[in-house]
Amino acid sequence: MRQPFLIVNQRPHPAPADGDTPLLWWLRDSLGLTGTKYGCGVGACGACTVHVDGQARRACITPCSAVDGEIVTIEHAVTTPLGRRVLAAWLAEDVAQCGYCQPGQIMGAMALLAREPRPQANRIVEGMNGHLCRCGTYGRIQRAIARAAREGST
Amino acid sequence: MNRRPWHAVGPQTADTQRRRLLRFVLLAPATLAMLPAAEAWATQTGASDAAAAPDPLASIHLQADGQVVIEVGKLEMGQGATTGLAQLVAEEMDADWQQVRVVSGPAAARYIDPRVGMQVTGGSHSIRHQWDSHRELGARMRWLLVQAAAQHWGAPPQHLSTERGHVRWGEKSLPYHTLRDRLPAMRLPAQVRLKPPGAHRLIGRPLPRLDAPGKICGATRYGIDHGAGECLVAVIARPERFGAVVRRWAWAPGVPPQGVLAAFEIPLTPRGSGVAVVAADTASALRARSALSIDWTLPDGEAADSEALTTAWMTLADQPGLVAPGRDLPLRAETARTTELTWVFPYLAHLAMEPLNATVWLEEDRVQVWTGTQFQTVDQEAIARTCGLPASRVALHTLPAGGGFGRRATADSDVVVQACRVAIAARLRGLNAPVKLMWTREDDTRAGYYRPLHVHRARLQFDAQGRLLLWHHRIVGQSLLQGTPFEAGIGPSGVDTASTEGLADTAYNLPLRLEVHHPRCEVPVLWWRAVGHNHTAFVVETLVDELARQGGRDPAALRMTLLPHGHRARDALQLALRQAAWGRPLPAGQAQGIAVHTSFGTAVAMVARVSLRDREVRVHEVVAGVHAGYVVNPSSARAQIEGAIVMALGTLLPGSALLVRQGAAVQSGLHDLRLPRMADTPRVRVHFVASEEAPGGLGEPGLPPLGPAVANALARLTGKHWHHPPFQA
Repeated sequence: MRQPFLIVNQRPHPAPADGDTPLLWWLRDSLGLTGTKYGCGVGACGACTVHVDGQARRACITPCSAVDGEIVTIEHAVTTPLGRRVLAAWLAEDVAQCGYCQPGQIMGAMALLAREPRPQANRIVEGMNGHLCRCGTYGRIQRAIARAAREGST
Repeated sequence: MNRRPWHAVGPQTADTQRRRLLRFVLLAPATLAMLPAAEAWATQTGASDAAAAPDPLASIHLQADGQVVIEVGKLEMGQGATTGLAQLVAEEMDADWQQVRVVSGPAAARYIDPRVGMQVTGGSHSIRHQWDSHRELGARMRWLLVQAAAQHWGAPPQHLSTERGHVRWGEKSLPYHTLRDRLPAMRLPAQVRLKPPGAHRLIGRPLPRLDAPGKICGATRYGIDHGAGECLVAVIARPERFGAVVRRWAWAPGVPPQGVLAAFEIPLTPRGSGVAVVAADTASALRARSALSIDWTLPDGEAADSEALTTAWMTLADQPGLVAPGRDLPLRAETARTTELTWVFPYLAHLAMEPLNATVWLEEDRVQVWTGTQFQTVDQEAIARTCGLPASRVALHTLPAGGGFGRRATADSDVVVQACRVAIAARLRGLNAPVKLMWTREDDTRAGYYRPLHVHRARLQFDAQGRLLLWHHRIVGQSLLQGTPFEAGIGPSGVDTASTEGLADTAYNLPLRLEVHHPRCEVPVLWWRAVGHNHTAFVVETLVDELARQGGRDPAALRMTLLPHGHRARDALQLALRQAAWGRPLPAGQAQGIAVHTSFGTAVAMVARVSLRDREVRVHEVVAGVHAGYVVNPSSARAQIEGAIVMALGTLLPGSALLVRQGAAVQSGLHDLRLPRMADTPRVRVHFVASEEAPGGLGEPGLPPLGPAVANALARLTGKHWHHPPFQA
């Protein structure tokens, strides 16, 4: 159902007139939230991952009219307790290289940890395999998620 | 001082070719447009020789809040060069690392690398080439600070010391930034002394990357982010076939869609044309582009097809070709035994995560461009030519890039040239605002500029005792420089070392005769990570394993006899073998394979543990031994090797080859062109040989050995050759 307003990072914004506009471009161009990235436009890489009511969604293939919850982007997510824990783990493991995919990876990791606070290694791989990293930082992403999980339970 | 690469002996090397290329760029009379730019650069620095001692105040900014902003001439595309270079500067100036920030400077004469003759990020040479210059920069800054403090206190400079951002004189101390106003009046030293490695506090430490915090919270602005929401956005409807030209175009609905500000035909690089659409935002531009109806004029000649090309080039590999300099051993008559081997390597797309883009703000008498480019000098020149402005009126700002791998270094400056052409046409139509030209992932995948398809054929001739008498090798692949403004860089032999490096200059003591064919074809080609090494290493290392097999030798022991004494590859190999426990019993169905390759000044050996189940290749673990000289940042260095392993592994996975049919790419994006994912990633352990020799490269050397290490393991498991990556299921 079309909403006149969309809530992004806890603030309301008038929804775009054209409801078909992909959420990705509305966030980046209309709201200036460029942390959510364009990588493929077809939902194959995960660089555009946002949270809608806590669930990971791919903004590049989500029309604004199809959004039926509160949107959180990387800019706000990293300020939450879970977000700060994940960021700290990402820094401790020195994960990022070019960094372009990392906001999407972190959004995916947060959604995973919110569902499964202590995932086993194979569950991390299953949960994150949809996110591409051309720089090949997968090993460190895996270790960072495991670290964040450990830090959360202490 | 940097050591001359020990593998660059005799035969023309890639370094030689690149130097030749750069002399052409700067001095060739045929390119008159370049000369005024060279003079403009000279005027900017006040020095005619870019190698003269640079002024630290131009690159190191002490801010009032205590931050030390170091400006470097390199693009940050993930390889960690900007943090590494900042470490060199900060070390010698004794800066407080907590206060250090690093930024990439614009295209500027002071950033021209004297060894290469231009400002460029590539060749794994940022730290390798600037090892001395950036330490000297820091030391010069320290000198200025000490002189300034001495003046302030009226103290003898030799009684002063520096530590973590402070100058000290006994009990007194001054933070660096309090001295900044005095610095311009201080005289630069004639020469400086650099710290010995034993005194290093920052260099050699695994310091966290300076760019990480901004990147992981979404704050960092890449090229594609610049001006988002404020600048106009353009996308181009590109041809379905390489080199096709617009014959006729119209709006399918009959009228321009809402939001279109302009639409016009635009010439593309290297050939062909398309239709550009300019709108106020990305979604409008993309929507409008899909409303275009275009008729194309196809180019003459046979449409490229990667299967047909492979067949044709395998035939070409049977014919004599251009002889590689220094690899001209005479042919031999029939010998007791001959082995023939063939390898085929497909086209590969670079596929950096950030699609190509450039933002252009064209004004009456100047132009500003924001983009993440690896080729600042070349691009600045191309912008000047395209806009009809002197280079001194071109400001090219370097933004962080979401990956490069060579795609952001094109001789024809395709990204900025197309963006400028769009901006010029837009301005002619009254649109006086910055315009961002964006490639969609489809555009990026289908545009070409691929790692060239290569066919290799080896004819090994042995005597009756099994001694190798001649390794007669032919390489068939498109030349990277041919057909570009840098074609003269190839040299009189006609052999483009981009196709032969890693094989023509192999350190192995083997009797090699090398011939090359550079067929022409309409598919645009480009570097890809590690350039020639990304296929030559595969060939050499699987060939050496074949020699070991035929001779009943252990492949590691054979390599040690073939490598010269003192070569870095020996240390790298021994380290990898030891750490991987080479030769130990393995679980059933698993095998280890080894490879060692030297590129860009660094030797990397790998042992891959592999299994094969239902024709699916599984790489369990990779152990790497690396001799990279002095490692400036071990964490970053390790990350480069880990990442290169994943990238190389990707080229072995079914579905990763870029296929060409009817003159166009078959695939169009990340949904149908396979990239390696987390599930494909093996366990990786990287070990470095401890060394205080000048640093070798790290961005690319981790890539070449992985493929052959896996292929050699598979050969041990199956008794077959695995010479045609990707390894089809």
